[in-house]
Amino acid sequence: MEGKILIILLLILLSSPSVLAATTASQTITATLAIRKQVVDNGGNLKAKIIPTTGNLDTALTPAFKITTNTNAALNLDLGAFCDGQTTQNAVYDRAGSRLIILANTTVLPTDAAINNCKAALSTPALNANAISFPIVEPSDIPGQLTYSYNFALNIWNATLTHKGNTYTNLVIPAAAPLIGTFSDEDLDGYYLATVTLAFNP
Amino acid sequence: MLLLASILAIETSKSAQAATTASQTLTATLAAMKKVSTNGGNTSSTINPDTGNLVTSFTPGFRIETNTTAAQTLDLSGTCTGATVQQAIYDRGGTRYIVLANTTVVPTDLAIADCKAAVPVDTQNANAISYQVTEPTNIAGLAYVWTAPSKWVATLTKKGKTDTSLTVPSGVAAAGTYSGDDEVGSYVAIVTLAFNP
Repeated sequence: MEGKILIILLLILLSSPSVLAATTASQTITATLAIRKQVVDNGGNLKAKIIPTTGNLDTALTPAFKITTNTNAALNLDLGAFCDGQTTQNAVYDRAGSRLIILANTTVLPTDAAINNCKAALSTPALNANAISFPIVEPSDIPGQLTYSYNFALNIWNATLTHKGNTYTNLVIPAAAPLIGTFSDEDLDGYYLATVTLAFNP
Repeated sequence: MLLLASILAIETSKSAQAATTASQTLTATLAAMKKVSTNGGNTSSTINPDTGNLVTSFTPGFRIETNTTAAQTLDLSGTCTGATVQQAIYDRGGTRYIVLANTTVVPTDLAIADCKAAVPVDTQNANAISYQVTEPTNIAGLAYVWTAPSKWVATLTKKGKTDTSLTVPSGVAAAGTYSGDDEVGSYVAIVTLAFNP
């Protein structure tokens, strides 16, 4: 067709980039908090005197602990004690259903045999010089939070904690007479010691 | 005959003057480009259970792209989730902080609010923990200004690509915001950079 001009229009559509591109972006930051298992000393009375004429403890010993966790899921702890003879020994033991703890002279160390004699069915003062046994009060359960049971095989207490936050507990060695047969003038003057430990397991 | 010739001459002249070229102008309009995308950085960390310390710094990164040097503004902010979505970033005494909220045991809105209080009480903000935030860095063409109560407003005057990030440094939790009441879980906040329309 003469005079006719065929015009081909090529439309390039350039869409506005701001319509397609994201004008917002987000990043999620995440920090993971695992189970908290913390035990710290929490005071109590750690010092007493042994009356030289009787062997009695003049003041109760009450080592205390604070347990902190961030879960109500059951967690296990062990409560025990040790003392030093020639080697480190378990200081807690059972006799006829009563729990006892041995305090060992750190100035004049007892022998391991002396410590063992304190634990024997019949202790003989001449055989346990510088080691003296005292009764322990069973640690107290806290209903719904902390439950203790005595482990006769290991001579410790196993504790089950089901309380998040802070939980307070202690062990009491009352002001009382020593176990018969564990105190005499064979026990030399000095510092009689045991170390009480509360630990998560594991 | 002369008149007919004249008429024919005029008609011939008209066809000689017709346009032999025509033009059409094509126009495509390019508007301002406004694009923000994530740009790496560290977004995972752990909290030391005994101390509440953040073990590794967070450094969420962003890339801004634009095709103009005309000033544009963007908001840099954060959110965390309690009973409802809350602003996570706040100011206390001129220092900025961010609240991370437990997604396993969700805190209450009050707990999140307590983290932001003048004196947080750890028994009142269970499952929400605050950490200090480093002021975002100003660079040529990108300047941040803290805008209360919960964000920075950035002014962008640079075209092309601009990279920026926010840092939550490793370190202690804000006082009074971490305790044994903060339960096991994943503590989360969402950091957002957005163009203002």
